[in-house]
Parts: sequence; C-alpha cells; structure tokens
Amino acid sequence: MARRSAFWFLFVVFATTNCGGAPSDTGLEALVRVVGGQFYRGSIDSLTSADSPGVVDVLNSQNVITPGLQNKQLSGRLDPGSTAVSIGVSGDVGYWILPADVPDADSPTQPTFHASLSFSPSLSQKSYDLMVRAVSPDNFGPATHVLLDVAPSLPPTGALVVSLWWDTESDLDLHVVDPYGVEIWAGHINSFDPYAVTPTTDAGAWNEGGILDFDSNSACIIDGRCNENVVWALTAPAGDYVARVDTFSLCGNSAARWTVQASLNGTLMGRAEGEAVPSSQRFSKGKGSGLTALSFTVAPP
Amino acid sequence: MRLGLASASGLLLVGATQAALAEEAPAPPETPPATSSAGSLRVGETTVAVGGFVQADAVLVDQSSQDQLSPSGGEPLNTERFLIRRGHLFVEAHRTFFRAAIEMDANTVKGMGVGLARAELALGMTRPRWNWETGLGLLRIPFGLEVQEWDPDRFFLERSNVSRALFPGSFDLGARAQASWRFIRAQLAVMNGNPLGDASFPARDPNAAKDFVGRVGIEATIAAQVHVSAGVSSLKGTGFHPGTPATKDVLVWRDQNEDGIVQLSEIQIIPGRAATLSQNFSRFAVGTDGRIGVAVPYLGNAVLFGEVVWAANLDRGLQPADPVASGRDLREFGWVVGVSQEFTKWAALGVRYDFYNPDVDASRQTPTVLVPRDASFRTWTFTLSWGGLAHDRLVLEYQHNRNALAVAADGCPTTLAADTLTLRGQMVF
Repeated sequence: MARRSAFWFLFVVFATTNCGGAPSDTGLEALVRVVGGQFYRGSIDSLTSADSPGVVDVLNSQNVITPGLQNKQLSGRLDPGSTAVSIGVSGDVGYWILPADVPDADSPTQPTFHASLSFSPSLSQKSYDLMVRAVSPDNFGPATHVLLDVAPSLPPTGALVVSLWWDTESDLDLHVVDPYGVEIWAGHINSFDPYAVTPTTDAGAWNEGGILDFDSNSACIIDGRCNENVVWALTAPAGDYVARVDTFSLCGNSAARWTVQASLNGTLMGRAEGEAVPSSQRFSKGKGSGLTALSFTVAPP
Repeated sequence: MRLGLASASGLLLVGATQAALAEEAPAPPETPPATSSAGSLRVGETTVAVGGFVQADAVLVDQSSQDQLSPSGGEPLNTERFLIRRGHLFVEAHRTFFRAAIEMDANTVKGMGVGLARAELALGMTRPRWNWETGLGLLRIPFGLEVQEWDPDRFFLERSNVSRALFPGSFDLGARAQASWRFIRAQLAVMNGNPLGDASFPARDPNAAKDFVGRVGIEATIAAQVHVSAGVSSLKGTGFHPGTPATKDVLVWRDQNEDGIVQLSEIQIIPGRAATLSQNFSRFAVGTDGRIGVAVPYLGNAVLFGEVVWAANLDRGLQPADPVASGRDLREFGWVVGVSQEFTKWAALGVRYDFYNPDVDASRQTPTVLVPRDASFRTWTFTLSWGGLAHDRLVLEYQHNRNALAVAADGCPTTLAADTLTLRGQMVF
C-alpha cells in the first residue's frame, strides 16, 4: 500500500511540474551564434506578426563571411516598444534572443541592439539569409534580411606552396628545407638572406624567399586554423626540398591526423598523410626537428 | 547521546526512534554524528572509532544537461551520469577529556577528488544535565539547522540553495566552543570565513579578520511523542575583494570594417594599469530555525522544519557577493520549509520548498527604464525513500527549479530549465 501510494505520488508530481523554462542549450549546432544570447530551437522564418514593431535599420560592415568567423559586429535600431531582438539564419535549427539596449541620443525613442556574431566552421552554402526581427512583449516583428556571402577558405597562391593542415586543436609545426639547406619554420619564417653572397639593397627583396604564413596553435594557444603554409610567392629555387612535420604538442588531444601537400604553379607536386601521436611529442624541438613527410624536386626552368 | 545526534543533524526527520524522542537527558552540543554507527576499539584509555558512509548517485534526468563542453571552461556539460557524491572515511579517538577526529572525502563530482572533510581536536566534558566542549580545526559551521546536519541524516539529497550559497561546504577552519544545559544549546565559533566550498579561496583566509558565528537555541521533548528544537543564529565577519596585478600596455587590432587588412585607424593602444588594492568588506547574517518531530501512531515519524536567513555580502557559493566590485551591498534573503512522513519503516515521503534571492536589490536596464529584477532561485523538492530510513536507504528525488538565468523571447528574464531526477543509494558503516 505504502509503495503504491509513493509511486503515484511521485508520478503525479513529475507529470504536473515538469514544465516551463528556457532550454539550456549552447546552440553550437546553429550556423550563427550570438554572444550572450539565449538560444531557442525552431525556425526564425515562421516567427512573424504583421502589427508588431520592426527593425528600423541594421548596421553591418561586410556581407562577406568565412566559415568559423568570430566577433562579427551587427547593430541597429528598433521600433519603439521593442524589448528584444531575434537573430538567426533562415532555415537554421534555431534562433537567438538578445535583450534590446538603451536608445542612442539622436533617436531617443528607438531601442538599439548590439550583437557579436560567430559562424559555424561548417558553413557549406555560398550565401545565407540572416534574419533580424524586433521582439515586443507580445509578438515578433517582420524580418529584416541581411544576405551574407561565404568566401571559401582558399589556399594561398604562389609559385611554390607547401601546406600542412591537421584535424585537432594541436600545435603542429611545418618545417621546409629549401635546396640551399635553409630551413623555414616558426623560428625562421623567411628563407631570404639579405646578407647572402650577393647583398641586396632592394627593399622588396624579402619577398623572394619562402615565407611561413602563420604558426598555428602556437604553444597551444588555440586559433582554430590548424593550417600552416610556406609560400614562395615569385619563383622557387630549383632543387630538392624536404618538408617535415614537428609535433610540438598535442595540447591534450590523443592524436592529430595531418596532411602535407606541395604545389608548384598550381600543379600538385606531392602529398603525404600521417598521424601525430603522444610519442611524437618527445623529439627535440627547434631547427631540424620533425619527421620527414614529403620530399620533392623542383626542376630548373 | 542519540538525541544529541538527532539534534545536530536532523536525524529526527525520519530516523529518530520513539525511544529517542522520549529521552530526557541533554545531549552534547556537537557530538560527531558519525560515531553513532562506527565500530570502536579500546586501547588503554583511548577509544578509537572508525567508520564512514558512501552516497552513490545516478542522475537520471537533468534538463540542463548537454552533450557539449562549456564554452568558457571546457568542462563537460553533461550531468546525466553516475557519480560518487560522497565517500567518507573517518577515524575518531577519545581519551579522558580529549577528542580528535579526522575525516576524508573521496568523490567524483568534478573528476576524481580526495580531500580533507573534517579534522578537529576538542576538549570537553559530559554530565547528565550539562556538557561543554571547545575545539579547534576544520569544523562544522555552527549556523542554523541545515549546515549542521550530517549528510547521511539529511532526508533530502542536498541542502537548500540558501544554505549552500551562504555556507558552501559546511566546514570551515577555526575554533569553537559549545555547551548545553538541560534544554538550552549554545555554540560560538571564530572562523576563517572561507569554507571548504568557497568559490574564491576555499579553506584559506586572504585577510586577517575572522568571522564570528554562533547559534543559541532550545531542544526539548514536550510530550511523549513530540520533540521540538529551535534557535537563532548570527554571523558577523569580513569578506575579501581581491586586487589586480599591474598590466602591460597592449596593442589591439579591431577589424572594424571586416576587410581582414590592418589599417592604422583600427589599431588601438590599451595602456597598462597599475596594480589595484585588495580590500576588505563587512558581511553578516542572521537566521532562525525550527523543527518539530512527531511520532505518528501506525505510520512513523513526521517532521516539519523551516529556516529563514537574512544576510549581506555573504554569498560564497552560488553567486559570490563582492560589494566592492558591484559598488553596493548585496543583500541576500532565503528560506526553506519542508515536511516528511514515514510510512512504516519501509518508506518515507518528503516535500521541501526553498527560496533564495542572492541580490534583493537587483535591477536590469530595459530600453527605456531601469526596473527591479527578481534574481531568486525557487526549488520544489519531492523525495521518496525506500529501505532503512535511518541511514541505509535508496532515495529517488525530483527537483523542480525556478530561476532567472535565461532570457525569454521578449527579452525579460525567465527560468533556465534545470529540473532533475536523481536516484541515490546510501550506506553508513
């Protein structure tokens, strides 16, 4: 008797009180994220009410975005009576609610909004329709559309490009040794030597060397690129090249799968794949370090 | 002795026997409750007791759980899991007027963690109508009912929000004196003011000022089947606002036109700042509590309890109060009321409601006006217990949480869904 009563007591309690509240949802599945915003699941397209306050204007610097872009600023003004703004991409899994800010001095009746947006690294379409709606206590207002074009992340251009990219937030380093034995890496980012056999006074001569564009995830300060390139922008010296991959640190990850690729004037010279594992971190760091991933030869012109 | 344990820990909620209720001898004000179930060994004049308890949880449902990592700290956001909430092991020794105890806690709340839960040295004396004790070490904070309740004795899985916010961890380092005479109980302690669960400096003390905390109350059996206890508590202390170290000049590029190209107008110099001073601030709390236990014929014990606390600048766990940073005093207010009823010796049901507002004067800015903001946490707790109700039991608890942590569609604060359903197995040895 006591057990049966207890079961029904708890059943009724659970059934009657398990309701309400905004979801605890990071919204990381969404294509666009709003810093400090509350995420709600559902399409922003269907949220509309004809008589509700709308968006007066939207201030947007650039309509071109890249996958994984952070801190894109979006601001604007709302009709009087608005208490919040909803922001989302048309057709996305959800939208964001951000409380409205105080009006500017030059339009004292119009609430404002200031949003900091970031975008999913997996943007796949060429363009997206970002929708902004004012929200009043009763309804959502009509949408204001901001068309955003996605710029693909193109590899750098140059006469010779040696690229390394990997798949986890680890600190891997690309080392490239040119035909003169000069090693280009994070500690020596340009193979050009102004004090070589034939000294030069040309201010732009530095551009003749092979240049490392970025030391990604350096010292495990994660930047999200997971990509490094050594680029000879003008001409590449003829001879033998060696590309090495140094696992500086896996930054707590169990492994990192990497790919090294070399292209000469747009033509693939070679490609290699491998995996960095914890034991890869034990080798010495600096010049000369890393495991040989790729060797190739650039023929004389 | 048993009655004293019940008094200090709330055992009356479900576990006190009718014989205990009828007992008339006054209890030691703070006899370590764990000794009630510990095995003991006598060596010469020294009596050594060893014991402990395990609380293993299965969080079946948590509305706030997500299969993601926290964007700020990288911690897992999934809370629907098995965990060891508490695993305590203690050794306690008595010799003439002296007592020493050490208790360790192992849990998996934030990964595997092992630490000191209690360590104290005490000198005391017990007589039929009175007793006293003075102690030093890592001690339970003598404030109110919930803070002084031994974890396995508590019918509900965890303490209320107000208790956990103001006295996180329940234990603090300090010295304590306590005494009882007939039905009167008194406790006074001088403590660091940074309990084990302090959000900033747990078990440390960044300032020399100490917190004074104490409770005065009564405890009596007013009829054969009715036991009451009540008291008032107070705390007066000093909090700490940490200063900041000096910073260097920083060059910052803000890509204002989002063209990916550095332009002179987009480069800002943020000058470094000199170190800022750490400051102390005063804080206080007053509270009152009461509990009545009735042995209901044919059913078992019924307990009704409640506690109210007013405080200022004392939140050290939930939303740590820092009046220096906020520019004003942060006033806290909370209360809890609960009732439980045994249904034979096999089952018990309990309901608790607790309210806690970490900032009574909170406000928020709307587009047109500054309006008051309700920052309170409200929780309904429904608990069902099977098995040996005193200590060894299986507990199913549902919590319905209301708060103001989320933003509604109209921009106003609303509840962030955080209801939970938890199963706990508990055994004391």
